[in-house]
Amino acid sequence: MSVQEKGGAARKAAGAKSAAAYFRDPARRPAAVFAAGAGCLLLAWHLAGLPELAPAYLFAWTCLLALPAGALPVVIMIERADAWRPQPETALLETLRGFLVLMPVAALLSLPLLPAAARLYSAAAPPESDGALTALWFSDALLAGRLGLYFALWTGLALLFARRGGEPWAKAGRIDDGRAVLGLGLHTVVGTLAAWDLVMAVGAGAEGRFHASAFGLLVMAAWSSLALAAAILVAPPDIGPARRRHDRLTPLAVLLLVWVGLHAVQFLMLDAAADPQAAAWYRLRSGLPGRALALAGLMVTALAAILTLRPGENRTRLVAALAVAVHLAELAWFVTPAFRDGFGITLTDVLALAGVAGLAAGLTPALRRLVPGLAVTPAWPGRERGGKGAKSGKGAGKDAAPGDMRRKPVVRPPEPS
Amino acid sequence: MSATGLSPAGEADSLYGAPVIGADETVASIGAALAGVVLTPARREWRLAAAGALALAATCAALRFVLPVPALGAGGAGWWIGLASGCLMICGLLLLAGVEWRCGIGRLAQTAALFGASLATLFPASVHPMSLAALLAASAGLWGAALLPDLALLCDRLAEGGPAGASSRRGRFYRLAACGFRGSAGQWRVWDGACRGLALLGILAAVAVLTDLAVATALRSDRHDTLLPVALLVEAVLSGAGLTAALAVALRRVQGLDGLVTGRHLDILGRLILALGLAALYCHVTECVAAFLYGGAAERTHLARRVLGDGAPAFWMLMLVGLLPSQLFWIGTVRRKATALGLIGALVAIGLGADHGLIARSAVAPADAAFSQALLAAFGPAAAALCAIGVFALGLFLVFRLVPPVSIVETRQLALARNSGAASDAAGSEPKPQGGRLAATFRSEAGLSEAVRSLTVLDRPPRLDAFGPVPMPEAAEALHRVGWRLRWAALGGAGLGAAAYLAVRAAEGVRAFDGAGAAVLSWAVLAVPVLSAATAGGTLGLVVALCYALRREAGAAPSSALAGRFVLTVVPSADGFNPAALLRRLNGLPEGAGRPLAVDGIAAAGPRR
Repeated sequence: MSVQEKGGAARKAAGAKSAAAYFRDPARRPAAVFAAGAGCLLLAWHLAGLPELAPAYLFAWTCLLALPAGALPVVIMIERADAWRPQPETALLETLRGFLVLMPVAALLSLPLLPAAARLYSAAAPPESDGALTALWFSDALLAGRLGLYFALWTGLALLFARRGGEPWAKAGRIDDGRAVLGLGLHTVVGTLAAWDLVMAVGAGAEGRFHASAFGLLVMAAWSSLALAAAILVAPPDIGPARRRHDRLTPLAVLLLVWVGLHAVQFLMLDAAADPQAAAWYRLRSGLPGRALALAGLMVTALAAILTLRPGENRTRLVAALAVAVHLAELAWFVTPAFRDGFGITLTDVLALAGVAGLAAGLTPALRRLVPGLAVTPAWPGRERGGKGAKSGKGAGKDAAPGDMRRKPVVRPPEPS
Repeated sequence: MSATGLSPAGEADSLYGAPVIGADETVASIGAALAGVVLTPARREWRLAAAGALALAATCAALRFVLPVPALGAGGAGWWIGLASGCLMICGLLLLAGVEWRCGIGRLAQTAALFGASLATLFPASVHPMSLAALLAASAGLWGAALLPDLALLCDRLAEGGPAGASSRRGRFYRLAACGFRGSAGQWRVWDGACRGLALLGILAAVAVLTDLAVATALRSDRHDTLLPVALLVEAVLSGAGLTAALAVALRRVQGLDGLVTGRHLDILGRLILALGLAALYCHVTECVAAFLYGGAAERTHLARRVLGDGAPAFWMLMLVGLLPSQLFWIGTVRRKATALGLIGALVAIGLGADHGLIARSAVAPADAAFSQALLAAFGPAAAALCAIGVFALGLFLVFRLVPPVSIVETRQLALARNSGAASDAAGSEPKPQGGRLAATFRSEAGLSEAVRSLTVLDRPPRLDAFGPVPMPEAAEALHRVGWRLRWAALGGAGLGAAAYLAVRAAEGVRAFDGAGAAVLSWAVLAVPVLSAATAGGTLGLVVALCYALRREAGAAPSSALAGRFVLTVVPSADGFNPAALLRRLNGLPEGAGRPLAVDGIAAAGPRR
């Protein structure tokens, strides 16, 4: 044994750890990720300055908000659709419920937006001729109040619908029409107003007050599509008959079609109206990267629609990955061009995205401990990454990670005929 | 696997609802009841009602020749387009989602969509003719394709009555219209795929025509709200649900089909109307709030004119007649009362027509709008609306004397899934094999599939075919029927349709290339009509492919194939065929898992049980 090996053995015996190992410890991982996220944001601030960072942070934060806010209606629809055609509990549904617990984290991370509101939403301020009521609506105080209300309602809904799962085939996991209508209705109203306030109203005055009443639905469709695509990427394969494992693509294709349809309809109506503010809004976003993004969105949607004819697990994940990329770019397309000369993804945007992701990953475990309602059953108790079974989903009993053996099957085994 | 098999035990009625089919309904009773509705002589009340509708239609149709076309009012086109699109979307979505209980209302919605689309063509249309043609083609395609098995069954029923029945005018019509449908596993697979494809095309056609209507309105009026297409879509589905509810209530009352169009159907329709009413309310409130908060002076003026000015009658009719009554369905007793549902459904369909009519009227060219100054403006549209309602009612009366108002096949599927004894009394004569074949009868598709699997493992398996009263995906899989690639026919037709339309427009653009050519060929102008052309082409391609594939997959069906039992036919192979061994093999299978109820043909001297 060399001297170095002897030293290492002695340190191990004394319980000492290297710096890397210290942060790799699962107990300290959230703190490490939080620190890394904060570091990314500080670096972005240092490199680009606050005026450049504020829109990038807003873009990154809307990406985070998209996960819980987009997952909420999908969870409600899947659970309620069960009453028409009973479906087994799937890992996808559990993953979407897992996204719901990010809602309070998104609420917490919206706080830095409040001091930046004057910079981000200066174009939304109405002219004096619009009257006192409109002026009040766009005041900073009422904006903060509305944000508080949105997140109070959204967090309540997220807690309600995240808690209802966790027990496959239990009655508590099913919702009736009343709760479904209440949940969807509240989410639609809150989502519309939030999309107007936070995304549609961005601007520094260069493009005027763009507005479109379908904008709320459009943003909510993008959020839901992003959340579903992300869940498909993250969720492990279901255990069960092949035809059940492969039907994740159809809902994603439907959501992508709705999203593309809303984009097209909004453009056609504004084009027919020949509204100068709308023309300026689109002109700012229709450079080469903007057109490439539009083309990419169309192609991903067409690919999703075509692949529903020949579904497969890898194809579904490919479409989901492409959809996530397109939606992330789209959220930047909504927000950042208003503060730049056109659309483009910059290093500041990437750093802000990494920073917000790090902060969210670091805050989530702490918030779960603080708020009892968030302590839902993890999506896949005992299933850790790695292991052949976890990756392929084949032969889950034989090749799965040790934790899989204790896990309840998420798809009900076929009944004996 | 049945749906109930998947649901948790002891599920409350409030969650999954009451049964969607009467507990006593069986495959045989459904066939008898629904075929009886069509084949029994018409009652006196029916004759009187049909005569009244005919008189109304004839009187008002005469006005069609007296009045100039613009005087009929473009509002009528908007109303019928909305109803047709809504009904088409309802039946298409339910079919694509595989919702079992759709059988009670699917045929009603399909028929209403077909007549609605036909009637929309009578009025001066504010949409592109291609959009309207696609809507009509998709409605007719789905309606006709969904009918095929029922027509074949009606043909068989007439044949059971003797040669006179089969060779009667009605029998010949059913045989011709059924396109050779005999109920083989391959035909069922083809039919099922075609219906799903046509449902998807129908939804696309409905979306295209409503988008076209919204864009036409934005181009020719000052209503530019981006939610307008969404609002039109939601209102269309809502008015379609209202009309379907009213028709379902009337059908239950007139034909006494309480076991097939159940209270649960009415309850679901009530909930659907309530939810869609909320969605429509969201669209209108959002439109108003957006105009108030973010809009300029022009938008606010337009909003004020719509709510308090010349648009007020249509706006308040929409709100008070179309949307407000739907909120009564929050009360469970109102929702479950058939009369209330029928009345509110009809009100909703009429009230939403106000908005569709207003939009369509504002989308016509200013030259047509000049008729609003004329005396005819007050008289023409009302007469045309009465005419259209008369034709619609007359069409329903006539059609439901020719075809069942509720799909026999889908109702049988539901009964087999929900009622455990639905197949037990499947009536009909024993199968009569032809050409030296064996014919084995089974109680269920599962039993037939087991028998197929046990026979296909033989060294020299005989040629097998399966026939039944409902689609048999499991049997088709066991028989290795891959099915026809109808999707390629649909995609090819869609591509051809779109290409043909683009070619025509390109030729027009070249002819008119004096600066306007570029506008003719811009994607924003072309997008919706190209989608409609593709939908129409896809529908035509799919229908042609379906007719061809049905002829190819017909097989030699036993006479009772559609009567209610599942029949396996065995064609002896050329060499080494041992019927006795085959029979022993079938009879050796466990009861309920492959053993036939009866076998007829060359191996069995008379039926062997």
